[in-house]
Amino acid sequence: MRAGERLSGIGNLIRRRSNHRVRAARLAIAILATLLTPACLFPLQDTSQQAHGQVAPPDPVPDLTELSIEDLMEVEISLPASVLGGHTHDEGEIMFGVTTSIMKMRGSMDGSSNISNSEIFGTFDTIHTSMSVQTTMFSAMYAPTDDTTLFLMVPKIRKESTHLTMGGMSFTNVAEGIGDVQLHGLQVFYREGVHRLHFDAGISVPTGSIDEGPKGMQDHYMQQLGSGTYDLLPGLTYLGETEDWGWGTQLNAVVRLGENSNNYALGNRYGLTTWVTRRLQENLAVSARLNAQHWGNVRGADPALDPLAVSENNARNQGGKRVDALVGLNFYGTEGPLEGHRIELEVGVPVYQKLNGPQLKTQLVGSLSWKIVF
Amino acid sequence: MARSGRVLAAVAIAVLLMASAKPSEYEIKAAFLYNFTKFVEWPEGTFAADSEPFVLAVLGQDPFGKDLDSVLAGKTFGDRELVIRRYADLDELQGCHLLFISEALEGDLDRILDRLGSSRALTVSEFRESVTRGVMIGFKTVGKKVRFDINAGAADSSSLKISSRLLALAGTVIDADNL
Repeated sequence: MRAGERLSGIGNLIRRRSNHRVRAARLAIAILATLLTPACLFPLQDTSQQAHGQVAPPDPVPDLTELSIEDLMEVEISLPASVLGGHTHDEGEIMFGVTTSIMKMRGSMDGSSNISNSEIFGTFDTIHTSMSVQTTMFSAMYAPTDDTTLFLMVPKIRKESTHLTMGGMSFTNVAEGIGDVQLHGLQVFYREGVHRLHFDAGISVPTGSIDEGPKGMQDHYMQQLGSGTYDLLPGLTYLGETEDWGWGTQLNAVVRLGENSNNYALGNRYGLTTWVTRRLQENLAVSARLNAQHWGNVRGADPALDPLAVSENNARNQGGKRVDALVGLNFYGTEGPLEGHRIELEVGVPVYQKLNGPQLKTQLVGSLSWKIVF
Repeated sequence: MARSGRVLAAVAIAVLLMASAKPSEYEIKAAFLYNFTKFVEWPEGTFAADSEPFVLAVLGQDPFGKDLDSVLAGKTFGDRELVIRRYADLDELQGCHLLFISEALEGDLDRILDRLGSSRALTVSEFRESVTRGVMIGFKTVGKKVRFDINAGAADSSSLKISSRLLALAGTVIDADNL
């Protein structure tokens, strides 16, 4: 069968599939092509043999002991894929990154029990049936010393909430824009062997809107893009790292300072996250993480919100606790055009939730990030 | 959600495809250890017999893993067999000619150096300030390259002669006058 016939056959096969599956396949192929093409466009090895119609043999692993000491000093090491989060950088390093994270919520809970729509309608006129939050975080880091890392994070947020009225009407509200910008400084204050402790001092600046809502109306607290307050973001991280294993735990908090211009402050948030990573290859690691969070109710109340209209308008139905279990994959490019590029993928589901409700429960969390280190 | 799941799965596959095994930091450091033996002169009488092997020992948590064995497989020190030994702690340590001290033992360094005294072991480590604390050669990473500092004074007090070529390549050299 000639190549043209093969392609035609493949084309016919693809056309017989449903549009949905074709879209999914195209997406997968596009991503694969995007990630793999640079290596093809900028091959690492000398291509002169291919230019003469020969296939270059695979590059053998060099015997490093045959290199002179001067040559060894010029060999670039494969930097390890570091542990998830809470990392610092070597002196002079600059990093830029983009992280897209998603959180999908559907169905409601009151305390640790599910609650049906009909039960909620007994109290409220409208039900919040689902919500998705997509955050694209742009970050820039600079390490003036080995022990200090400074970074700036600018989030672009899209929140989409679906509601159902008692009369059976469904509607969706969308809020989209820049969230609260964060400034952080990480300071390592303890190093001993493979162990390290560092403190994170951060502040969140109220650049995100707190006046989102359709047609001039005010949307509920969760649908806003910012807190409206300056928030302190302290964190304490323990890291342990050997050649093949990484582990750590981090305590973090969001402490709201004062009240915003709509007469409320979001509840403080406290988190404890613990993880372990295992290197599979020099530039690839897998991770597992538990992330526990506790967040409080809204203090004060937005006078524009009717607390009886929908549960999420009620300042007392905002707090909760949740523990997520997540798994991740970290890739760190160590050579050629991918050198310094880092791709991290993490997905997880809640394993425990207790919400001051009725409140939407979380079903899925995930993030995909790309970072480049100079 | 199903579509998001497929996208994430595709990215995961792509990441797996992109991953490849390349010389690691510790493969390179293992090669350095072997190279160091070519630039250090051990005093006469170091080896009791012609058949005595050259012993390269790792003390404490071994960061090399299998890299040390694979890189140094079949290598010799002159005509001598090069053998690798690993000791979990100081009490197990026996005679060796090159001793790599694990970063995990940073807190025990003074005790280790006291124990070694003026033995004829070339000491190498990789934690900060190891050289200023008395280790003869200290690895460090500059950017993405492995470099090293030398404490020539410490080597001198153990009657080890480090070649001028190696000294010239070191980032920092501490000589006996600076001790």
